[in-house]
Amino acid sequence: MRAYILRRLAQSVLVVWAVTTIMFFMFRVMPADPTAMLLERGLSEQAREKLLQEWGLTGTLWDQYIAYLANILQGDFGNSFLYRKPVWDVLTPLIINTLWIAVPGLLLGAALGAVLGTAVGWARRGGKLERMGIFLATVIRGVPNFVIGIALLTIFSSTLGWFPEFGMGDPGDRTGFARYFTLEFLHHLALPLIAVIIYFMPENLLLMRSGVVENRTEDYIELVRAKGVPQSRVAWHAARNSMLPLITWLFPALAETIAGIVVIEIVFSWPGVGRELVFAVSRQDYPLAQAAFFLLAVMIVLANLAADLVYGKLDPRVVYK
Amino acid sequence: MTQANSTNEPVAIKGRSWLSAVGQSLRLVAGDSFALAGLTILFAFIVIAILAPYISPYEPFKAMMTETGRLNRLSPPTSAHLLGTTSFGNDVLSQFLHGFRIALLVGLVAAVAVGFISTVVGVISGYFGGYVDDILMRITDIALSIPTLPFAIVAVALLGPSVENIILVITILFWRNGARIIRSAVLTERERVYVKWARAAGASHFQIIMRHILPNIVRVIFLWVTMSVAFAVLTEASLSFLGLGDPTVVSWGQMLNTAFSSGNLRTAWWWVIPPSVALVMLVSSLYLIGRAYEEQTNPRLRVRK
Amino acid sequence: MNFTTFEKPGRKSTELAKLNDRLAAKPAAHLQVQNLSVGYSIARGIFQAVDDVSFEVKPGTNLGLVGESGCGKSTVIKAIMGLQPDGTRISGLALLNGENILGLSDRELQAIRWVKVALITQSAMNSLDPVYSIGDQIVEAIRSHENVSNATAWARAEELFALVGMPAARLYEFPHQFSGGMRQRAVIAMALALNAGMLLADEPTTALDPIMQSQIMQRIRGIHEHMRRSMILVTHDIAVVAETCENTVVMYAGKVAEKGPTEDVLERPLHPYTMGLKNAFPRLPVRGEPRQPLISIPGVVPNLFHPPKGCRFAGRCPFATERCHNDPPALVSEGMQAAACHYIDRASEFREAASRPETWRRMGSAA
Repeated sequence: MRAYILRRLAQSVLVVWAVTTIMFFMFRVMPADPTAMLLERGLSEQAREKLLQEWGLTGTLWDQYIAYLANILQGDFGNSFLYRKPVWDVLTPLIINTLWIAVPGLLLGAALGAVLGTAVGWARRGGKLERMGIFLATVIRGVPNFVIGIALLTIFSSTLGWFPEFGMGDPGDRTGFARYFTLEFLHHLALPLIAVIIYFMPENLLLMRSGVVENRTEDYIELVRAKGVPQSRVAWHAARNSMLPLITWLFPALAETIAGIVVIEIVFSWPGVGRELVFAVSRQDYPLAQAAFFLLAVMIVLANLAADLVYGKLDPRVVYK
Repeated sequence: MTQANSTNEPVAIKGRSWLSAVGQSLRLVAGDSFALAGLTILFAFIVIAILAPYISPYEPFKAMMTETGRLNRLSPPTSAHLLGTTSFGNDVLSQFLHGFRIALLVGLVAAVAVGFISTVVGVISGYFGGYVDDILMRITDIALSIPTLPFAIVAVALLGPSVENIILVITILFWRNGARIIRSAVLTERERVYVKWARAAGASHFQIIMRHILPNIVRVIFLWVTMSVAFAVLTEASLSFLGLGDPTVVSWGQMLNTAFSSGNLRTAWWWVIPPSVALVMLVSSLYLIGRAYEEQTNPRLRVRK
Repeated sequence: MNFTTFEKPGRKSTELAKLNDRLAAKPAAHLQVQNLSVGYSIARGIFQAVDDVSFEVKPGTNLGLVGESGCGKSTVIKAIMGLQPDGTRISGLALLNGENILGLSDRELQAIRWVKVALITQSAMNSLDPVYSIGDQIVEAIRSHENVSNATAWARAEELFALVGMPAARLYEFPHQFSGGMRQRAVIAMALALNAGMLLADEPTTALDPIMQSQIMQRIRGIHEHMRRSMILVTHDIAVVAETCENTVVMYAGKVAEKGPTEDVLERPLHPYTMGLKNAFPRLPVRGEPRQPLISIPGVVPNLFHPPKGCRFAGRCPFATERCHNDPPALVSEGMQAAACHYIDRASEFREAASRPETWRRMGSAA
């Protein structure tokens, strides 16, 4: 078990390395003048030289790559052009904001999808509930996340005025974690969170439903029925077994979803990493963009790792080697 | 089936015809009422996209003037402007109709490219196995860890926002899942008796792939291409919504971006609703087709009759 | 409480003792199946899997249900348990201690399943949920019906495992860690959990190798002797029936071909199908006697979408006449035995002919 976790960690490190390498090529090789991308315009020639030296942007591509990796290993992604401070100072407070909508959103979306998916999967084949469930889930899955956001915003905040239109609310004089435990914060959190849930839920629902439909004709379900346990308990057995493919599916899905949160952050002006990435890109603040992209990639790698370990917990047949 | 292995049954050494494989795919989909609705919508959208320049009343970026010579901003629907105007005085209907073109152009071109790359990687990896498979699959693993939209945002910003670049980025992003799905389909096909026979009979790898493997995985490719159209449409719309779309063409995402950033979401419903509804209809139709297809081809999901 | 016991009984063991007393007090069940018909409606029409089947299981006895695969044996068991798929048409009665249990809803069946009728399933391979430990699955059966603590249910599960010869520690293991024979024993232990009055064993040894088969059958016989539950044993192995069951029902193509006390049915079969079935099973050679040839019945079970209009066995019967092909025979009794054959009076003549391989061979070449 320990050996397995260590190996998976090593694999994750490898993936992160690959992603940083891709990033290196994206940011330095694709644009015509790589230095222009990383250095602020309007610098004096001297200051420019100095910065180039500092950042290892001189020498061959290989030298640059080594310098780049060395910087990243030290956690040094440089300074933001716009904020004029180290990128981590900008991004650190934003990480927790992104997690505030991402983690509960994904968990609630998955849970709700699993419950509804079990209900639809357990319904009579070809019946009304099954057909309606599949239809609605498929159509909702087809709604782009910014359309979900726009709809929630126009209906519940602009028109009905139940929820604030943007941002996280004013923390006032509260600092640290206390700022997250106010009614005002939760009030601001509600709509973006709902948007993430609606965005993430339908695919979970459909996948869970397929799993339950496949499992309900298995022999072991017949024996559970024969035992005379309540129907809900029989459905639970089918659902419990269907969670296994659901979790393997979460792997690529998380990448899509964390990515999709970027758009939701924009719609609700939620100050998270994704929104900062879009801002950084449109203001050509490349060090910041690079760091934000790196952060999102690491989040996905970590989510994968978590999914893998949870799978082992849920399926006794998995042997960690 | 077991009897087919005995002597007298001529096992299909000839392979299946491509046409029949594709035809069978279409028939499968047409059997499901939801998917049929999806196909109808898709077909209607394609027709509108082709006709868009001829049926749209104005140039999409032309500023409309009122009779008094002022910019006709945010006009609700009138007989002259059936879907009203934008805050820049553009005719919403004309923009909306042109949006069909971009959505379908990006969707279809990117999906074909994705389908092609996925198939090449999936078939090579699955058919030849060994080191080739290992290397290609490790590459796929890494590609799967790249956050899609952030990558697209950065790449499009660096490459420059044009329709071609958007299609390129979408292709780079979505081949990976397809390659895996197609690879596992190839793995099953490769083990079939007739493939082994064909190899024993001296058929070349290329012949086996073209005649025995590909026609039998057409439905998997078809499913993946359908889903890819949806992903491509969604990605293009998201990029445009974030203001990273091609500024020289009109797309639905861009229309929504303009409405959103100009703060007219609530008032200018005529501007917001058409592109939103069209996006939902297009993507949902594709998903409905894909889902019906999955349902029909997975024996464990079929209703037992 | 009795003070002479060495150990002071804790609350747990008292609860277990009470549970065991309660379960031991359950009487063996009496089952009468009357005119049971089961049809699956399929796009092409109705597939009559079981047609007008009647039999009786007296309390504490063991009934063997034999026939080739696809003749409706398992369908009978599923119908009694209420496990038929949606859209199945069922008619007839299954009187359990005088009360009909056919056609009840899942909710109504909750009070009957496992409490009064328990099942030993056909394929022990997949009949256990892969993600729960065996113990959990046994405990689930107990606690769904008996209001006892988790610890008591586990203690009961340990006793059940001992009964089937398995160490208690293995209760914590998962189905994939068990061999086929162990899974089958676990399934038997589970079936005994609530000491139901009626046990339905649906081909309990089919998936096992011959040595394991005989071990499991011995186990089942031992349990049957020991607990005296009523039992139906479904099998295609006539030797198993001969060793295990007091009564036998021979089914063919969804109908009862012959039934009666096992000895009578196997020693003096009245139906040509039973005669053929007997020939098709190997017997150990007896010293000094000629080795019995193994004769299989040529042909296959008829298509039940379009069942033959006369006797269903007529197409494969070496003695069939015009009448057999046109009129379905009724079940005719002869003493304790009954058979659905028009020529029940010529049975001894048929038995004589049926033991000769050429009788069947001729049939095969004619077909």
